[in-house]
Amino acid sequence: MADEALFQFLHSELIQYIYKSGGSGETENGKRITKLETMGFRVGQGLIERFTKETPRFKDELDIMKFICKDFWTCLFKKQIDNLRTNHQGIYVLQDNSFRLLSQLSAGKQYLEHAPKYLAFTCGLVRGGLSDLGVKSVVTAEVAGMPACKFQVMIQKA
Amino acid sequence: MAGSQWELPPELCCRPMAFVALTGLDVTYNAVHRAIWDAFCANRRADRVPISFKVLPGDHEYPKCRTKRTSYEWYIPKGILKTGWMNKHLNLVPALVVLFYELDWDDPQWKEKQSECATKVEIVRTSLQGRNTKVAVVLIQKKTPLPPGEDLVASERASSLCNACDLSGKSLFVLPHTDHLVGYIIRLENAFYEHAQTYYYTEIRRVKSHKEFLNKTTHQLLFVRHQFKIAFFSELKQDTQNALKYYRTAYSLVHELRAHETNMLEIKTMAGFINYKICRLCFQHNTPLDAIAQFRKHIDLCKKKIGSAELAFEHTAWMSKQFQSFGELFDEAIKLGLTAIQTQNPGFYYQQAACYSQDRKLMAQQLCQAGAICPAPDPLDTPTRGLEFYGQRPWRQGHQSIDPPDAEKERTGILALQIKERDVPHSELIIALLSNAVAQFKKYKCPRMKSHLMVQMGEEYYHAKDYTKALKLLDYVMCDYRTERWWGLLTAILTTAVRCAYLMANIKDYMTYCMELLGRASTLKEEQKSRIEKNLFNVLKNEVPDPEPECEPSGASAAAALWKDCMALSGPEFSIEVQDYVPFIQCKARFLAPSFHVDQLIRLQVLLRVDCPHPVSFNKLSVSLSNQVYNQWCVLESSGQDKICLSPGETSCFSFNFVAKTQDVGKKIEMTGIELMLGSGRWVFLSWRGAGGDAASAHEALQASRLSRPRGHGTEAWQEGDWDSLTIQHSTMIISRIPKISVQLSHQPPALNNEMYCITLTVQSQEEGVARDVRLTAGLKPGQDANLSQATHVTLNGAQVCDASDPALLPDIPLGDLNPGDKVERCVYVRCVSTGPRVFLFHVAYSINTSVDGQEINCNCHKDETVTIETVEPFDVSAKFVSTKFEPLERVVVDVPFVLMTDLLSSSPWPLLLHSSSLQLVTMTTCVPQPQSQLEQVVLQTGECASECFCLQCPPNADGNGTVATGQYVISWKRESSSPDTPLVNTTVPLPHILLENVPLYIHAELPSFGRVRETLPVRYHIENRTALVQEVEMAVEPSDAFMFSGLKQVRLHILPGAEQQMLYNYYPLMAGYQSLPQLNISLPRCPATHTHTLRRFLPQRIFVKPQGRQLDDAFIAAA
Amino acid sequence: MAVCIAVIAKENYPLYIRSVPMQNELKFHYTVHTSLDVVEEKISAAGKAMADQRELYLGLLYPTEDYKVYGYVTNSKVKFVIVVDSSNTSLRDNEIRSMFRKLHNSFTDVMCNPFYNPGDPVQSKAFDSMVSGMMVQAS
Repeated sequence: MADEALFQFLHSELIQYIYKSGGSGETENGKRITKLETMGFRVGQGLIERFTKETPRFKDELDIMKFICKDFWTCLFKKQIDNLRTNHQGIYVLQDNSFRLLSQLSAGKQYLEHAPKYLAFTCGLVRGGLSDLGVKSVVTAEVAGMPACKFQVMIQKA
Repeated sequence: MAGSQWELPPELCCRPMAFVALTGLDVTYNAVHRAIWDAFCANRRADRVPISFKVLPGDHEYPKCRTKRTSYEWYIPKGILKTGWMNKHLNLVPALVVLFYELDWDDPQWKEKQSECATKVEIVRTSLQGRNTKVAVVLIQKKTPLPPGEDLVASERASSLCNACDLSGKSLFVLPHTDHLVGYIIRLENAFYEHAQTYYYTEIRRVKSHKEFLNKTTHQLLFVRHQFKIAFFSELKQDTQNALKYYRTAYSLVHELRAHETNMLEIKTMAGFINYKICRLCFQHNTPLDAIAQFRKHIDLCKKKIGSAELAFEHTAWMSKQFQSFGELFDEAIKLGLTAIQTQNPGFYYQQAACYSQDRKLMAQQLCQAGAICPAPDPLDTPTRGLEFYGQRPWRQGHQSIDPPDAEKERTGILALQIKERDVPHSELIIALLSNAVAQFKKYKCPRMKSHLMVQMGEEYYHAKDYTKALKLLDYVMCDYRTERWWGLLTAILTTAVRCAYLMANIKDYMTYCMELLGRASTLKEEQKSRIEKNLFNVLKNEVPDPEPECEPSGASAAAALWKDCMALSGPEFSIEVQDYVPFIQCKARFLAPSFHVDQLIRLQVLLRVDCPHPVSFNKLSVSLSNQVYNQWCVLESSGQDKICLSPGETSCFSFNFVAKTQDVGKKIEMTGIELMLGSGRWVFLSWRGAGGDAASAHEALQASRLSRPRGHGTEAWQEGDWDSLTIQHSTMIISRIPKISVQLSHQPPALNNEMYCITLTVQSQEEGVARDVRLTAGLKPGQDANLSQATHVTLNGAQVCDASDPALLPDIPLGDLNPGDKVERCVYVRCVSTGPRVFLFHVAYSINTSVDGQEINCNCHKDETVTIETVEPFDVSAKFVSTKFEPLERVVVDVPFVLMTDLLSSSPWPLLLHSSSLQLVTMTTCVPQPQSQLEQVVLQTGECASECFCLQCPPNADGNGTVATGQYVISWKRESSSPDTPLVNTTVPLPHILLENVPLYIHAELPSFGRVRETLPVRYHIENRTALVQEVEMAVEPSDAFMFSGLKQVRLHILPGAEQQMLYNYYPLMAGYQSLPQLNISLPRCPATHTHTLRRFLPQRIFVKPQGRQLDDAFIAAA
Repeated sequence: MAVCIAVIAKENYPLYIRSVPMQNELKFHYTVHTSLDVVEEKISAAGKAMADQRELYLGLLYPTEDYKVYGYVTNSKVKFVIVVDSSNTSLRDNEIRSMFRKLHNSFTDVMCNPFYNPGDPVQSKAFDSMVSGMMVQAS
């Protein structure tokens, strides 16, 4: 369990670090979110390379999404995504009812305004992972009440 | 073609068919015979039996049959298979000879003809002495034969003819020359086919019978020969399964032969033949995998059987041919319906064939010395101009022992072969094979394979000195390798291409390739790049470049001469498009912002970077823009001899500024091209389309963007090492100058429906100069719901209510000039005739003189204000009809007064001043002439209600029974806060419709307003007959506890049409308070529908009765 | 043992190519490049036809007279190509597989290296020496 805790603490410290530097304001805030997302992207690329070493080749896009929801999520957060929905036109919604990186923060609406920065890295992880598997996407997250969380993946057709 | 030595003989490649000779036909002069022959030849499709027919003269000499060997004991074979054997059995020795003879059964000269026929048969038989060939006779008859058995003459003469010719009955045929020729012919040939089958069967038996005489030591060759023959006869017999079996045996036997240098060629030749047959049959049997397996086995077995080292090219030539033939077989099978796949298609075999041909060329170059002279006499000449056995050497035919009989002859033979090989157009062969392969790979979706082959073709053309074709091919594929970013391969191709261009002295191509070889995509070593750069600079100085290494010296010297001519002749300037390459100078240009205000300097940068080893200098740099007017500002030219120098690995930045034209406001300026002029003595323009970049830069930028490493701090600055992440900004927008005026709107929303809504606009100038020609455009913002523009009207004239002729948007209202700090105010009136939100636009435009970079410009500025205004109803109006007793009315009785009540409820947030109200009546009339409005000058606050009532009556002549319109209610109003001269708004509200009713009898009572206890209360009832008939009326007053009364208690009376009857009752109240009057019961016996209840509504029901009071009270009351 | 080992990016450009002997380098480049035709076909065919055969190892791509070319594709569509000499008949399928597995492991390490930008040529010494171990030793 130590590695898991380590990741969580490191993740929080990372956010703290990023948020301590630089000024304030709407654009600065956006830049920091982007920075976290970019970090996640690179980490996701590396991780997926490692996680998919043993898996058979993916059949299609949905197959890839299932992998993200099951294997990828389990490796990262010790649980699977609770619900995956799609419109079959390139939009996938991944719902995690108890997202590991939020579960320490609150159980409800307290600190809700801080949720985006705790999700940016993970959005990047998913986007990086998918990009490495050849799926270009935009990943956004949405929280109504912590620790539940929805990730929306919008596939960008080339 | 000189490669013919290796071609497979046609007799091997064709499909063997039974050979039947037709004699006795004169196809030249005899029309009947011609028709018969045509019927045999025409339409030989798959459904006809496989026979090859040939017309021969009756006395044709067939090949002599050698006397049969009775013992093989001392026989040493001289080779495996004679070269003539296959052809002999295909075309010379028939399986059946058919003699055609014109003879009818009832021919008058039967006897003579019979013997003539027998003679002809005999001639044929003699010629076929010793062969098993069958003979058949066909009688061509003019008459249609009778059914078998009926013509007794026929059967008798037939048997006599058979006897005379020594024929079996099965070999005599009759061909009636009638309408059904083709049908007879088909039956005939089927019979011939059976005979042929029998013949080949006997032949097979004959060959097999030799086997017992053979021994394994001396007759190994014969084993192969016999198996081959059996297989070939089986093929002729169309027994392909057995043929395959015997060919397979033959194939394994041929490899059992002891191979040595002298017989290697023969073994390989025969192995190749047999392999060809096997593969062909396998494809024919639709077992392509067997064919492929056989071919692989064949190649594996033969690959190492090189034979004489001095003739090694022969082996590669042979190998090449093996692959080529197999490819052709495969291709043919595909044409007949076989499906090939990407990894198993004929292309691979053609490719391999080409590969062996390339080896052949190399070996030929190594082994065939240039200077050697052909020895005389030519050892390759044979007395018969051919070989007796397949695959033997002409100078020692039939020689089967290990050592050559004559070493000297062997040497000259080899030399002659080498000399012959020298003249083979190898490149031609290779290119043909490669292009076959290209066609295949194209078909089986192997683009890269195809490209690779095209490179090889290009290189082969280069070797064949066809540089134009070489460059065409190489240019074509370069593109593919460039887009796929295989730089190593691209460099290799470019190296060949640059050689071609050099040897052709094609200056432009030469420079283009050099530039790419110097670029960052090139994998050449630094010293090679240095050499190329030196050459490139030489050309730029209009000097001849050094020859490319690896060019053959003779070509190079010829090229040098060409170059000299070129330098003198071709025009000194040309331009090279470098965008689609990866040139040695990289260029990226950008506007420093995505948009500039017209009063700002437009700034752009051109960034250049060279990748070659040495500095490069240029004369001129120019940027072309979409508006060419600006081009003059974007030129950098070196002055005199000082050239501008670019150092390798450094980024040089060149900035340009210019002032935009005011008429370009709102337009986009794009860079359409960048040109860089190089050279001294010869000038070359490198041109980039758009704003630079090249075939590799997009990917580099993408890679750079993925780097999460920290980078430059702002967008303006770039760092040295960060060239890749520099992005191109190829266009910029020119936007209008930021206005320095304030536009303020003041108004009191919401707007009330129909009112003249006033918006006050204040424009104040904060400019430093005079804002001239200020114009206002005001009104509904375009682009909203189309209906809104019909329901909105804008005017500047507030004194008059505007109408539908006023537009929804007032354009260009001149406001004059504005001095610095000045302020101008305008009221805009808007009338909205429907509710809901609307967006209004107030656009203030003006022009002003300003200076940019010392240059005076006149620019137009504008400021837009928009405001969303909601329109609401000012008030709600409701109207209702009541009787004179203020009871709600469902219907109005004609010629009886009633009351209209209106309620006006303000819903405006602002107080309203009601100026007046009026009725515009239809049908109805007022009871009071010109009633004065009760609402005049009333001020209504939000939520307050103003009511009015009008007494109306329907005139008697109105047609009763039915709904009628009553009219409209018109209210004149305005906001209380508005100025006195603001026009009034008239709001018209339609009044509800009402049902009319006629009554036959109208009754009304005349009574005081109140009664008093114990005082007489006189009540007079007026009863009017409203019909055209005399009405009989029964009246009765019911007794009441509250009243006593005097008058007729019950009466029956007649009332004339239109007349009125009065009844007077004196009521005498007994109790105080509201009391019900005694009920009056009226009935009309003639109108049973009209009864007491319908009439009673006209009468008062109750009256207030005052108690008996004192005198004083009376006085008081009277006063009131 | 291999005569050429290549790593090809998702977009089909080379990330790494090593071959022995050095003088034939160009030929190996062509061999690897042309083998991508087959790889692409196999990958695209895998989706529709061979739903079950979704192994990363693609097997023998195509044999030429002189070489056998084997392919492997990672889930991130990075391709590995191993070329062995046709004469080397002792090499079994299993050994080829394990060579690819080693390559994949080592490549994953490269991907996870912070000094490596995915999509750039592989310049890792560790990767290089692993590849050297799998190559025919020029003697």
